[in-house]
Amino acid sequence: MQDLMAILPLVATGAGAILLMLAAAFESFRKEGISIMGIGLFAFAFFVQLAVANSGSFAPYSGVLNGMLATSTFTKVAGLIILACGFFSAIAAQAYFTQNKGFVLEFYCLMLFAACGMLLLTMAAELITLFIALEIMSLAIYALVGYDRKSVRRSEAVLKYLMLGAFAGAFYIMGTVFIYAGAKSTSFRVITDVIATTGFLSNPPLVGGAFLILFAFLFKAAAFPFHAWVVDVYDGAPLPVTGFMATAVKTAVFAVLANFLMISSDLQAAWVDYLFYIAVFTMFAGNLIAIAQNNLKRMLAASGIVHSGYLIIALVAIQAKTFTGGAMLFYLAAYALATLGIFAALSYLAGEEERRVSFDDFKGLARVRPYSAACISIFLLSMAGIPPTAGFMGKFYIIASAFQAGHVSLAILGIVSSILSMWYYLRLIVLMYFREPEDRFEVAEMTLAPLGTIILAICVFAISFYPVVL
Amino acid sequence: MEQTTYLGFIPLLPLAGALVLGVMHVATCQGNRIAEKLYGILGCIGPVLSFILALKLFFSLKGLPAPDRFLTHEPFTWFSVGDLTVPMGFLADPLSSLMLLFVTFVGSLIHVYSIGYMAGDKNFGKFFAYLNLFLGSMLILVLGNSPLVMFVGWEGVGLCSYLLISFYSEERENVVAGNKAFIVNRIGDLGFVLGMAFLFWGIGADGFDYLSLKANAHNLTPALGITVCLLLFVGATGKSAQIPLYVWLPDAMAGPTPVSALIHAATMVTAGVYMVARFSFLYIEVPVAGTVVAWIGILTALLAAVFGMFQNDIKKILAYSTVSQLGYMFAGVGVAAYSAGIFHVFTHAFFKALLFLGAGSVILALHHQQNIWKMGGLKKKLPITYGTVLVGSLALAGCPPFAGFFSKDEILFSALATGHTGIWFIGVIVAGMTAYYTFRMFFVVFHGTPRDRHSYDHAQESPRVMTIPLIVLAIGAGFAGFLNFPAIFGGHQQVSHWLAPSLAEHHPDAGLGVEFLAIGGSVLAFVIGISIAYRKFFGGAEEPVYRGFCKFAANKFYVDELYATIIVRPYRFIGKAIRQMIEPYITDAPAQGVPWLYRMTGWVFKVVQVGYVRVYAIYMVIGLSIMSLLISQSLNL
Repeated sequence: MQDLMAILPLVATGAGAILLMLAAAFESFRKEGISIMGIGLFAFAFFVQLAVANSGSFAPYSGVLNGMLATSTFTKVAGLIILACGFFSAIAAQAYFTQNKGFVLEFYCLMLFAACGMLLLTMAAELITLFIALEIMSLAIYALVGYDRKSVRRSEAVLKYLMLGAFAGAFYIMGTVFIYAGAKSTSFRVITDVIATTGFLSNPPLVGGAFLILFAFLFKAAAFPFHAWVVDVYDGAPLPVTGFMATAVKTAVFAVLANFLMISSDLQAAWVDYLFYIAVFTMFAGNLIAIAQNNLKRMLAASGIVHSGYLIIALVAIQAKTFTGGAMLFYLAAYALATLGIFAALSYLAGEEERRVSFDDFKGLARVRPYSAACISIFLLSMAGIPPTAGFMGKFYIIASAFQAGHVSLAILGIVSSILSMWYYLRLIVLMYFREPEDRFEVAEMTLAPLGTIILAICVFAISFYPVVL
Repeated sequence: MEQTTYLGFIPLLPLAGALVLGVMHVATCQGNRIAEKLYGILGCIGPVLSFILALKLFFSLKGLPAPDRFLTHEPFTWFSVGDLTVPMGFLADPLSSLMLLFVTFVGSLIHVYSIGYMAGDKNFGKFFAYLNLFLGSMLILVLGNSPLVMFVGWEGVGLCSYLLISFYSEERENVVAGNKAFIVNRIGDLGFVLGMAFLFWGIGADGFDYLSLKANAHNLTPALGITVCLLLFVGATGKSAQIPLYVWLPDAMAGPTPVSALIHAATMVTAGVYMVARFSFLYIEVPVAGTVVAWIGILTALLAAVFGMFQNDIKKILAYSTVSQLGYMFAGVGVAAYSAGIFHVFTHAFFKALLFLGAGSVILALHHQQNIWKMGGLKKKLPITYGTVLVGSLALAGCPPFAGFFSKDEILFSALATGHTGIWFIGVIVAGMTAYYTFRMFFVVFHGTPRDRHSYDHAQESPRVMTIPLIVLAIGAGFAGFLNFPAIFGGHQQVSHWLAPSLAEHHPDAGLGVEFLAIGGSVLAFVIGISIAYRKFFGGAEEPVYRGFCKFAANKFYVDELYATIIVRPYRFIGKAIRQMIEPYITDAPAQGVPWLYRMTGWVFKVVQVGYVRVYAIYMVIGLSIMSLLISQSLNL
């Protein structure tokens, strides 16, 4: 029974996706009905995950599945974040498609499949399972980015993502092969034992394999120097999909990265120096790309790179005795709230066919739509890490974890990077509040997305004042 | 220990009132306005309740044996740094209880009077909020149990004086006057802060509240002692308008008249005298500092009296009389007659509040006319104002047996008895000048024939909400002096005895002859002063044209201009030079360069984002290669 409970969220999302696919075949379910069903299924899966959240860490169906899956509080909270991201992205999508063409009935179905893949990814304790989960997620995301085949930009984006993703996927498979050569197994548990007996750095196949696998993850996480695709792909994807990718995918990837690095402290120790430089370069490259952007989506994509940099700081600081997964998840939750909020707001403010996407398009928004402008400002301030918001607490935990692990220079560079990031976050706030409006900002009537935006804005403060750290 | 929580409520009540009134005013100043009556009542509740609590405090202190007459209350820790913990503590002893009594009493009356005076003003609510804040700050100043807590109130009254002096902020002149008061006070505050710092450095380690400081005062080295005393006195010259920082007080007349009354009588200017008395345990150790204080005080008294004789504005005359009387107070505390100084603060509060409120009544009746040469013959039109101002003038001029006579005489007697003959002599001359300018003002305003027929015809007596406080204050100004009835007339000097446990004071022993000399001199000066004024102005006189020395004095010896030339202008010049030379080229240029560099790097990175998949793949391969190379180095085979 406990085993069933542990995989119930997986079942809920998977079955929900199939249910949606079947429903799409019926004439009586059209756009609105499907949207509401999609949102409802995400909410349902979220509560299922919440209901099973209090059951320690163990491997479900270890006899049947041979330890392919492992759950812990860490994976469950990551699952909660992923499903919440799905829920709010679905709300944003509902608003987006009242103003934009190109809706297909399978849209929410694909989102659920992607979420299912992400949940599996967080639980995977074996390299082949991990690969399957990665592909379930990636294929669904590819389809979400490029389902509108008539649009050249979407096609371009999906092509870039697919090709580079395949590139990274190939490295992953290669890494798996090496590891199998080195450890004669693909199970995390066995790899742990092998490293414990033979040592890590004296086992070249293991080193090479782990290296290639990490490489693939860093690609998915958009870390320097594998970050270049992010800006183009995020820009080409529809707004709600961008939001979903930026938050849910990132959560899943960092969860699995943390799991992978936790295989062995020797493995993590061998990687710390590299992760250190990757974190620094990722933060600064992201900042430098972001300041030159005039398009909001591109700026947010680039800022996503910076946030990946912060999360890698937590990976550097990760240690068996002081597991920084809590700080990482809190940061991910805070980042997800702000990003989803901005994308939800943009989904309805962008208007028909994503008309308003550049910085200048939002001049004087505060005069015309003060509440939307206030919410966006809250999200931006949270991303920038200004005190009463969740983003500040997130950065605080991460930087504190770096201090505790003895990486003082990394902590200081993180703070410097956070100051640099003010440039582009405050730029939008300045434009919204201190310029005269040129636009009337008329958008179609809707209730869900603005409501979702306000809920997210409240959450930004709520989780800052009641931080639940693992 | 007795239940003392109510000590905290004494300053808290007016502060809470300020908060409530402020919020009400801010919430309603745009739309529908709240009735003035509501503001007025709410504004008066705090001060009146504080007065009642001050009475309760007074009687509970009275119930204790003399050496134990102090109550303390520490509601919370204000801050703590390392070993130093500073509580937000209150100390009630005979000195602070006496101050509390008249501050809350006179303050309450001024609040009531303001309801009438400010009627119809569009910022009525704001005025009462500031007034409450002012009183609350003053109560913190008086009640604070350490120099630090006192400093909170000290700064609070400075802020409120600024807010209230520039209350009619539509006119630039008023705002400039407010600025002047604030800036001059800040200069004094610097002295106070430095004094506190030296004091802490010297003997602060064993507790920085008055009781600990008093116990450790003898450990202070003489050099440090004189430094501390003089620096603290610099603070006092700012707040209490002494040479050289007195210049703000006459300009402070720009505020509404009740504010002038509050500043001059109950709050603010008395803070300096109170502070010196509070630190009497330091000053008694360093007689040199006391002598400096006394001489500065008496010279200020002389200078202000000279200015006062040639002013035309009714409020300016009163302002200079305040500066002059403050000079007396400092002369008193300077010659170590602390109780005499405080007693003069006490009586002065009554008659100066009375005079200002009376002047306000005249000003209101004449539709904001303040030039005494446009008044005249108002005795018939404003009978109550006339009567009460007469009492106030007699008290100020030092006519026996009004309040001012006893307290001033006490100071002059102490000066003479401690051998400061020069101070006594100047003091007597100033007493004569005081009588002269007070009654010059009085006769010109109320006697003779009306000089401005039109405004005279429209003048009428003020409403009862204003005249009743006048009458109450007149009673105080008439009889408060008897509280410290000197022994020579068979009195008991209650005030001095009451204050004795708080002050480090030696009462000088002097013969009856000295006492008679002092009293005789004062009375003689008074009679001469008033008779000259009577001869020149009683029958009516025209506005004189000042020449020679008189013109020099009427222009206040051009001190303001002097300060502007030697301090303000060079200071401005330096500021301008920094702004035009140093700031743009030396400090700002590198600061501007950093964002420029940052933006340029950003553009470079944007160019690197070419958008071709093959280029992105190459980045990945390059990254992979470099990292492979590095990791192969660390293999350990």
